[in-house]
Amino acid sequence: MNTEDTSSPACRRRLLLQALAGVALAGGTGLAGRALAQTVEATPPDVLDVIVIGAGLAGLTAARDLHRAGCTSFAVLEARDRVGGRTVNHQLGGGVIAEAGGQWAGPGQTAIFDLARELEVETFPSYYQGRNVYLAGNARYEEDLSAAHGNPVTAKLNQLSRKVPSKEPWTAADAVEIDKLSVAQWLTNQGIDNASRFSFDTSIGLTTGTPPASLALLHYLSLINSADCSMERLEGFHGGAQETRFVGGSHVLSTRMAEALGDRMRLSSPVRKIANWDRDIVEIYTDQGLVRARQAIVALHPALCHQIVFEPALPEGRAQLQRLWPAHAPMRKTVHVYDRPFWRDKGLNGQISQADGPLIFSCDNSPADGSVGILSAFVRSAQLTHEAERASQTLAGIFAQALGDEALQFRQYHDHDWAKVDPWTLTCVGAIPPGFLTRWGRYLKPAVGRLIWSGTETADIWASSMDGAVRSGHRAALEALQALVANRRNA
Amino acid sequence: MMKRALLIGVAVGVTGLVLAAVIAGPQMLAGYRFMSALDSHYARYDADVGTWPQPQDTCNACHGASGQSQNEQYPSLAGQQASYLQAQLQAFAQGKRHSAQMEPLAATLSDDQIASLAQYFARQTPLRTDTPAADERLSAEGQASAAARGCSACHGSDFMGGATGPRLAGQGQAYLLSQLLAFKQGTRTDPSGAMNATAGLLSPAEAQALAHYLAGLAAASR
Repeated sequence: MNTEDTSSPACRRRLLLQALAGVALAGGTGLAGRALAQTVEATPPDVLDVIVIGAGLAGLTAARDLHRAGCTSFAVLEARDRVGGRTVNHQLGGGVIAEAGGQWAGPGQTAIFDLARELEVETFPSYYQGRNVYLAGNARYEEDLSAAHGNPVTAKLNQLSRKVPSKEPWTAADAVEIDKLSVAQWLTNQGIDNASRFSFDTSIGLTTGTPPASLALLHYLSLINSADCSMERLEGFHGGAQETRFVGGSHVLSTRMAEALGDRMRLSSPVRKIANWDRDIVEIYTDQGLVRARQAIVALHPALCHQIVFEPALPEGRAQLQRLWPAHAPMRKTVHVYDRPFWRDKGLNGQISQADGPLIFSCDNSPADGSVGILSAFVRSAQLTHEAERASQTLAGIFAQALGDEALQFRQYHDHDWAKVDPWTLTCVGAIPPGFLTRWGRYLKPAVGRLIWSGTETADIWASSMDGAVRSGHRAALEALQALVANRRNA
Repeated sequence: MMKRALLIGVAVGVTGLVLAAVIAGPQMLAGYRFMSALDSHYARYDADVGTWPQPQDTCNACHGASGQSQNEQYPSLAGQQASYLQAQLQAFAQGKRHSAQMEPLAATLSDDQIASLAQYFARQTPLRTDTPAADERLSAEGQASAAARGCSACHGSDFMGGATGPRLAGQGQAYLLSQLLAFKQGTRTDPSGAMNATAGLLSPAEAQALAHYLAGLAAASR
């Protein structure tokens, strides 16, 4: 029925007009906006030019770009009753927040810093001055990391990363060989000691959501490559990707973008089925009804794509990519609120790493003015009860061992287990195992029919980070506009 | 006197890097004690799990150290029947049992790895997962329901698992309830059909009582 629509002479003429509008648009002339406005009137009211699925940083960036390019015929579908995807704030009262999800940015992450400037979201430095604390059993050890200098193992990783492009790491010259190894196997081959093992375990577990034992060396090298071939820049606070925070929390970026979209932003609209993706008009079935569009930007994690029914079935490679993309890395992050950041007075920075307990890593997440003390912690989900009272006390006890008894006197506790809060995240970042990218990676980015894939996983640079999400949104919007032009030219 | 170079904090994820900080004074003593504790921790791993790295590392986040969860939402694997664990991993890998997290993960495992993981977790000492807030009336209702439904026929008289059914004693209440409801709704299927038939008879209140009763049982040693 849809193909019949577009085969009529009137429709073809309309499509041609729209194509011309699209071409002019790319040139950014004032004429473009007028041309598009005229053609939109001619478009059947129930068929949108573009539908964006997912209102995280990627989907909202794509929608914002479409909007700014003069496209008016689009909407954003979001499963949750909020925007922001893997970013969201705990509201602590008095305008103070703590981030429950992604929160940091750093050097080289120019896309998200540009976005923040455009949205007038200010930034401020993370607090990391002072000594870190390390716990194992009853032993406690503190160390100032500011005097750190490189070591041969990280230098070697950095060197190897030069040959693994963050864009399509599976195209690296030695990709197949590298992809046989997990990071842990490679580290074992370097003969690292237990302290390094602990450090890498914690570090990589936090950055990728999975231990070095099941993380592909190829994937990790591609992440380092994103960070200017520097593991220090990828993993560190000082001069690294954790150096900077957003005033009001990273979530503000999404809420500001969504506000500008008005009623084009449709919440509580989970997509259950996508039909006719191989035809001229895609049909998107949501809990709020059917939406039809000429192009769809799917700004979802691949494992979330797998939860959607596609009719007809997707091509084998893409279908397998979605089915097998790892989703076992949900993060659980807690917040303890104190009257003030008391640890700073002792020369400590609130960063605690525990080798053998529920705590993976805590850090000082206080607001810029330090008026309230906030400790955020990444915890091992199953090693800490779900029940808030006991969980908060257990963690406070660990904080007390590391920072002193003041840690027992907290004012608030918040807990966000991304695996359990709702079904719309599934997992944190890319826990990619060996052998995966070389087999399935090439199906990640290419559009399939009218479906354009977005989301941080598809970013050419800084995949897995908030910056990568923004980059992937820009790219998806360009792809969608170009596809509209091309399809209309062919019509 | 020996001075040991401590290699700490390769970023510890988000914590920057210190490598090869040579320490002195009281800090050195703390450093030695810490390194000694860390060495013991990893020595236990090597003795219990095997030479690093092992696939168990990946299981720990959601199933706890040695497969013993302390969070009622996440199932304990410790002390579970090897045959059951093996069958579940196979079912996840083949898409016969559904979990967005477990399906892709299980699909990456070889048959040998599945067998070895199942045996590893089966021989770990089981504990009660989490202690549900005591509710004697609910426990009594659950106990009566378990007797009336004949749960012990498959799950053992102490609910530590039988020939055909897994260990239930001391599993987390939230996990048990979620699985009873999944069987009831048919989103999880039991190849024999027994669990779907039994769970299909349960009212939500009865399922709640059963989960509460079973979660409160101590995990008996075998």
